[in-house]
Amino acid sequence: MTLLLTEALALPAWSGVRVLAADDAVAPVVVRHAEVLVGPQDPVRGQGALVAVVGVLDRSDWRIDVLIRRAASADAAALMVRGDEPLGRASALVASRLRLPVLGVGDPLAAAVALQVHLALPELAAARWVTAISTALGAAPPGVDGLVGAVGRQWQRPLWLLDSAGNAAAGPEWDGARAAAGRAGRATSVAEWLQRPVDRGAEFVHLAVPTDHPRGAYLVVHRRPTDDDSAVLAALQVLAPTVAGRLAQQRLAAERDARQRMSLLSELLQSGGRLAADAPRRMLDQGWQLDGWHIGVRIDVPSALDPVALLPEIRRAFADAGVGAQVVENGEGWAAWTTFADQPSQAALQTHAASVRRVQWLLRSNLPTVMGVGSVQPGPQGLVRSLGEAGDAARIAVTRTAGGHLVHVDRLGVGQLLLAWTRTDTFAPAASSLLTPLQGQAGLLETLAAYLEAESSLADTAAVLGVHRNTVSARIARAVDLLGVDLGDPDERLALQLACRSVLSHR
Amino acid sequence: MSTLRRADLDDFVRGAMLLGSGGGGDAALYGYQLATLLPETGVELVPLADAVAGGLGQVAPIGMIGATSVLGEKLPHGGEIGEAIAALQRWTSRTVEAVIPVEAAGLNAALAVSAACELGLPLVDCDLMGRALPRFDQLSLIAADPALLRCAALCDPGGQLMIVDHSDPAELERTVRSHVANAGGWAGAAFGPVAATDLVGRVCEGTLERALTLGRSVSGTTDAAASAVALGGRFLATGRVTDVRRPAASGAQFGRGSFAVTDRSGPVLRIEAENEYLVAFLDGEPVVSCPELICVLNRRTAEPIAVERLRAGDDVQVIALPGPRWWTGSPSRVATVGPRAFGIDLDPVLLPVRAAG
Repeated sequence: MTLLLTEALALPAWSGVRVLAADDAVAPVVVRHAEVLVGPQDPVRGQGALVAVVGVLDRSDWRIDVLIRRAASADAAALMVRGDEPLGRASALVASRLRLPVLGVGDPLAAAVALQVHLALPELAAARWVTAISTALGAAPPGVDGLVGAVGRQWQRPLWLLDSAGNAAAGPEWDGARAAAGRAGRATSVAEWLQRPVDRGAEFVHLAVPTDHPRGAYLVVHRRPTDDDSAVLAALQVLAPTVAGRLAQQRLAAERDARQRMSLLSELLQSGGRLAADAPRRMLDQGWQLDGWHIGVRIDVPSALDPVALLPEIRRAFADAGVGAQVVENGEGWAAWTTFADQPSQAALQTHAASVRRVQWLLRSNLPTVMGVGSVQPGPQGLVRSLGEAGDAARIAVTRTAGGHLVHVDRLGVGQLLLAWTRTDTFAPAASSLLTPLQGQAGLLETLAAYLEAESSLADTAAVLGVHRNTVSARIARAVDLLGVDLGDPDERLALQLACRSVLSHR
Repeated sequence: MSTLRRADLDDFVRGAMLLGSGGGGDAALYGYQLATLLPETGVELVPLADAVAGGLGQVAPIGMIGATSVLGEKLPHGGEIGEAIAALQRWTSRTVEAVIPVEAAGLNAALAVSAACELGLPLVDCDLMGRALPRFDQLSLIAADPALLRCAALCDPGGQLMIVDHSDPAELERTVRSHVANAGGWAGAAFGPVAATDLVGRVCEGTLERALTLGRSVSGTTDAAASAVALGGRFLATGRVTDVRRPAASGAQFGRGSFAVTDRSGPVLRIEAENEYLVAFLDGEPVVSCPELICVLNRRTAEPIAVERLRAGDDVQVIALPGPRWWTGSPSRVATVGPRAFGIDLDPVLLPVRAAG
């Protein structure tokens, strides 16, 4: 660490130090370390050193000049001599010409030692931070969470592991907005803040963990005002590879579990629900309830993404949406299903459908998904069948922008029929001319289509399009105005919805 | 062979002062006397080679010993050197056939000329220092072969005579200094005598003529800086004298003085001095040291200013001139007259160009 000479002069141990010669015009003087000369003839080595001469020095003759010269030639930061009587005019002039500050103090050794100790403090602090990591490693429970928790306790400071979107994967309660606000609210989001270098003196210090996890990983610590930035950062740099190691371990374990689940699921699907003798037991071990009524859900993502690594996000979304579901990596996505002990009521099915839509909505910003939902079916064979329906529905949903890429198989039969009919050559031109007023009106056609698909629900339409419901209602009002139709009239609404389907499918 | 005439006296005195490097005493004191003493035809400065070739016998180095500043208050009666030589002849039963100055710098250069005129003895142009130096062990003859110079005759202003013999250099120094200090502050001295042949290679030759040359080159009408360079020396600084430190009156034989010369923009020149200017520093870097000559000149008149006359506020220019070649002839000789011989812990810093000896 380095210190400005002006800062050094403010040290309490330097209260007796007087500036005997200084050139105010030059750039700030940076002191890197202290170097003690016993006699004025000792060689001066240190670049950036405070050269303290402990021996008695006659400062009225050539010796002080030569010493100043030698210190300046060695690029010393400053020269310190015994006694605070002023320098002779000529020597002060030499010091000023060579731009070497000269300090005087009664005990140069004590002052030099005080400076050296002060300069070493950050290294000491960094050593303490790093030592705490090693102590924590000894006691930390397995897993990333255990490690982050243990280190945080050792440091006695809140420590988090975040993904690049700013969601906490480990650590205490996380208030991302506060960290991102930082100083003068420079970052607009946590994600953006994580990409920036750490501000000097910022409340939260963050560092990227070297990992190949698709969501990235960042360590964030809430420093205290007295903590030295570089010490904290150094400690995080030591911790980061360890965390990366644990992440890799966790990943290995997850892949092992995933393989088990996946093979169990394919066993189930291939058997068509007629299981081998020990299969139910193994499925029970996984927490799968084969009896009862099941609704299968198929979730597909772009093929570049990694289903194993992203499984926790899917699970979290299901949990957040209040859907109890098993989720298993399957192909380029996931197979999920919800099990009801008894045949669910119509209301329960409605709730479930809404919740699945909410799952997709929760995932929308990080993970664009295509989802298909099967019908409710009883028993193991029912599960297989519902998952199959969900897969079919998902394949159809790929093209369904209006439905937000979510298709419920219960509505699939009618939908497909209508769709087939609306694609005929007689209907398409008529539909196109009906909707002509909406041409060139950005978003109106899509909004109208989504609104009609969503049973005229502003809230659902807003969720599907990811816009505010007021935006939806404004667009609908404009579309109605432009088209001159009455959506309260079932005939007109049906005609309009069919026309929308036709036009959108021809795009 | 050159001759020193009355018309040359001003240059000769100035040159002797330059060779003094700030010490050696005020040559003008004997210079006034020389103006009347010097014959119309002048005094021949006999080169040593000519003297040896002419079969010259015993030669006595002569000079004033002691505090040159006291000389101005306690004036010589004029016969000191003559009496010292007479005593030397009586004691050694040898006839002194010629004189040489002990140091051909400052007042001793002029004194030797004056004594040669008065006594009617030839003046051989060589000396034992080549410049001003303070101590007996810094006599070239002693540095070369101490056995050659063990006897001295001293005549103090009160007329008291003392002969010292069989002394080694340290004893000679001690005895003579303590006697002089207690007997009026200064004394006229004659050493040896030494056979002219023994002087060859053990003395600085041609110093008197060099004084004449230097005095002509560095005069009020010339550019001192240019002259210094032309003479193989260098220009050091010009400016006002600041930070004058003189030794406390502690009774020490040679006190250390330190002077700084600064001007508005140039580097800070510091000169360390005892009886002579010894080492010059520019911004803390030693740039020239004894045995080279460091000369502080009045900027207006180019007159050399002696150490004891330098005052704060003096407007000066400072030049360095090559010192006597004899002393730089070997490392041990340089060490005898280098900075460490004066307690300044520095290696000698010699001028790069030594065209003139």
